[in-house]
Amino acid sequence: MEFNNLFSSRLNAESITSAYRSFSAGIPSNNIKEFKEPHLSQDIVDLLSGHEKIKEVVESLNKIELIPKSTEECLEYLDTQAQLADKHMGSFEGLVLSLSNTYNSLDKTLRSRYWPAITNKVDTQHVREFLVVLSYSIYKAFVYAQKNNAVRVENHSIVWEVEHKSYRDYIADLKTNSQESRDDETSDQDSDTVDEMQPCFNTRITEVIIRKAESLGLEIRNIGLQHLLYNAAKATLLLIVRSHISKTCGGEYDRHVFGGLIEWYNNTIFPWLKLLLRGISREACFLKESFEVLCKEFSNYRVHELFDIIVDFPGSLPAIEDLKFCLEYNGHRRLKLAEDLKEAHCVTLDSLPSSLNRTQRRLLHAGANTDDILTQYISTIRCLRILDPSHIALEIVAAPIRQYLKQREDTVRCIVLDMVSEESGLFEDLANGSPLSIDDDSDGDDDDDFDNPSWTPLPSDAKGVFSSARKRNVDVIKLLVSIFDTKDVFIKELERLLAKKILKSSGYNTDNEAKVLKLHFGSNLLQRCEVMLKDVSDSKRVNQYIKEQNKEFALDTTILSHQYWPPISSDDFQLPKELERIRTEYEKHFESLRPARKLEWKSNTGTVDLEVELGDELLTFSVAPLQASILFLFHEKDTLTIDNIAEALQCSPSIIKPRIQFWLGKGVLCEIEPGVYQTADTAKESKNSGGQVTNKDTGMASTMSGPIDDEDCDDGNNDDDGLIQSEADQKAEAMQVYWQFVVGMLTNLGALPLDRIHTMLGMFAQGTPPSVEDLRNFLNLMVREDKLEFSGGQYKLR
Amino acid sequence: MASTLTSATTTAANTNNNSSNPNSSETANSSVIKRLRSELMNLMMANLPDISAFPDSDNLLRWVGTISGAPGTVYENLKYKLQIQFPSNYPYTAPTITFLTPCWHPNVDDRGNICLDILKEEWSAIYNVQTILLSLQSLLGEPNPDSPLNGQAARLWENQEEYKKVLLKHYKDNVAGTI
Repeated sequence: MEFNNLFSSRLNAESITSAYRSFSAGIPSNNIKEFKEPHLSQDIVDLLSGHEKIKEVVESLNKIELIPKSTEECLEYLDTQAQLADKHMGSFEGLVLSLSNTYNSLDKTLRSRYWPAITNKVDTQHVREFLVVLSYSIYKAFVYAQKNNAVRVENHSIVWEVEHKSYRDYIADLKTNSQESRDDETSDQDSDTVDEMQPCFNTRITEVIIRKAESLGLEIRNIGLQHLLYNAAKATLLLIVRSHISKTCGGEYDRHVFGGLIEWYNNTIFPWLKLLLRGISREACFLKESFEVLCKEFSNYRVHELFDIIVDFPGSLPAIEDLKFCLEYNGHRRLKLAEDLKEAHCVTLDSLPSSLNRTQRRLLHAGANTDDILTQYISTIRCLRILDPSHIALEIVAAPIRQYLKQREDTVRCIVLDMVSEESGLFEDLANGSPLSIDDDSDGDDDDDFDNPSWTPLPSDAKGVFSSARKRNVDVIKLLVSIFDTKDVFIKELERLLAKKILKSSGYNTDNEAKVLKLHFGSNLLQRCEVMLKDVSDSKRVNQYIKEQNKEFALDTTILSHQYWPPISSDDFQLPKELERIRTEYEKHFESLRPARKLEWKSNTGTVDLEVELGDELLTFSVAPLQASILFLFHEKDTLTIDNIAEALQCSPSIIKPRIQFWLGKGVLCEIEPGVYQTADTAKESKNSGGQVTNKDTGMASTMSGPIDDEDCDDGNNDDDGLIQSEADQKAEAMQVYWQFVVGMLTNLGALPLDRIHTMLGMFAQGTPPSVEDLRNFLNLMVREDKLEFSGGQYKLR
Repeated sequence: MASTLTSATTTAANTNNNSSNPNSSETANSSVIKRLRSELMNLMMANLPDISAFPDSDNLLRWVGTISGAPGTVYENLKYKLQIQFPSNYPYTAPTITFLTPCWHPNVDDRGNICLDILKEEWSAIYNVQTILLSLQSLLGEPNPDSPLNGQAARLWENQEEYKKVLLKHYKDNVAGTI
């Protein structure tokens, strides 16, 4: 036994020596006399004989003692050599230099690092490393030779042509990218023509390399190291493929790169592997596998980049299509070979968590805009739709985003805004897609659809977990709407948005909005919106009619059908006489037009266009009615205290103050002493009788009478003005006792609506509970102070 | 004179109390309500950051509590909800407390039942909601390995790093989003 071992180890050592030497014989080194196959090296010697200068270079390089210590260092070293050689690229000198450099370094490295191990005993680990370095160096040499057009490859790639073709077909099928595939073809032609111009010495070098590699393979086979070579080749292949992919494909999302990869594979990897593994059993099988390695590595790489790809969507569509091809290719083969459905999804599902984690980390935090999250979510939906028609991956990735979006207060608002703004992609979706039937709850189960020829079963393991996945097979809008359990929030938000838009702009163009809405939404749920729009056009007609009767009339009203509008806060105040007079007059006209109706004015909505003469200056403003009213008061009297104003307008000083501040800021009023105000020009030149304030045009909203419901304004409707806050401030102090109870409630019971909080306080807190109104104001104050959050009619803790 | 008078009134009050307790359930109930009301008030006013509880509905006998793991323990920053059911003769019998949030802990089983002596044989009427919640909070950080309900957790407890890993995973899988 011992003898045998000894013998075999000696044999191995010797054969490796000779194998290595014959391999390194391509350069004039000191081993030159020990060639095992002199006729091969003779080629090189002949070739080099005429180039004295090169010999010198090579000899000087020989003297550099650089001994890398680990495999990684070896590979690194080879890479640096490669870069060095790149500088001399394209010339004969460069080629020889690179080859000799590579082999030379290998010589030194292997000698110092592996030789002892290999000669002393057969250390599999070291031999394997040796083989990795060896295969890598062959690869390097091969690439240089190829870059100089020294290697012909046309015979090798028949099998892979087929794959390439299927990819081409695939790309061609995506009609949008016809441009892309044309580009591919032209580049092919380029490389063909270059191939024609091979110089003859390159052919000879190639022959040399190929024969060296052949003999190496032979040697390795002879000494029984084929299984190791097989593994080493695999490791090296992974190494090469990975670095190539990251070099050529990283961050390239806007064009198809996989075609280029196949090209590269056909031209470089395939012949290289053939050289390396020539004569080794399982060669054919390995070659087939190696293409799968390429696909797998590529898809892995892309999946890791998925987040960035999705960010770039739709610009990154080519990248998505490449990835889809790879996944399908792998999955398809597996399906055929092993009939293993689970495997088909394996690549996607396995690697998604990493992308998912990044999504959560990079996206789902308080600093991110809801808009951005939504955009990303929508892109995610679109991308994963393309990648994974079964929607299972989408289900996994989307769940946390949906969960998070649900918590965000402004999600609904953002979605609705997105839907109606014409620049957004969602708007296009709405315009292109079928009318959105939000109220369609019965999505229908695909599993029951026996007529669907493209039906595929879910992966066996996915059935339980993702039974809902198929139900998600609906359009993007529906997916967004389904973030929330109820669609009502959207409808409400839409109404609110519409109300705000209408009330803010007096000359609101209803046609545009009406068209959009009618086109995309089912009519029954949006009935209220339609009434709102109709109100606007009706109001226009009424205004026109009244103006026809009285040409001087300076009031435009929007008449709202009370029950169809979201509640409008009704903080009333006493209008100055002039405005009041116009209003009553309008009312008279209206009542003659519609005898059965009565107007209820909403004084705090609408705008007043003012022209203010200040000395010789003429300023125009478009302000809220309350602000205008304050200024009107200065018509009658030059100097007013804040209490005077509050009394005249019948509202609290705390509301008046910010409005006065507005006029102070504009320089129309000035504060002569704390709480006492004067028009600016009176202050300047006291002899003048005061600023002339001309009312030009007032737009005001009014409510058509009907049952008057005092319970409106139940939420953040009044977010523009600080009306509520200042009132609530006063009562907040008294509420502090209840605050602890509210915190206790919300901590333990989760989100609660207002009336529930009120009942609970009455039940458990001691003393008389506050009124619902006071409690609401207090809770809204807490919302403003960021202690509470209000969404979907319920309060919850921050 | 004065001192004898006061002592007389106190004894009278005492006897009154004693007689009312075992009597009808109605009066017992009202004293339970009174006690729970004051406990709630005290708890609310104590304003402790890591523990909290509130009646679940209009029934004062059923509360929901929330505790967070104490800082410095593996349960730090983890929030757990509990259900507290008071018996009609509280505080003479301990309340029944179960974890609503799945809790991975040596002394808590997978249905949320807790093994804690003061809730069983060691119960005393001097305990109240606040002290119970504080005990539970400290139980999180200092489990009693002698009477485990969750063997896996008990075994892992020695290896705090590994324990934390498993705990966080369990918490993430079961709890994320519900609190």
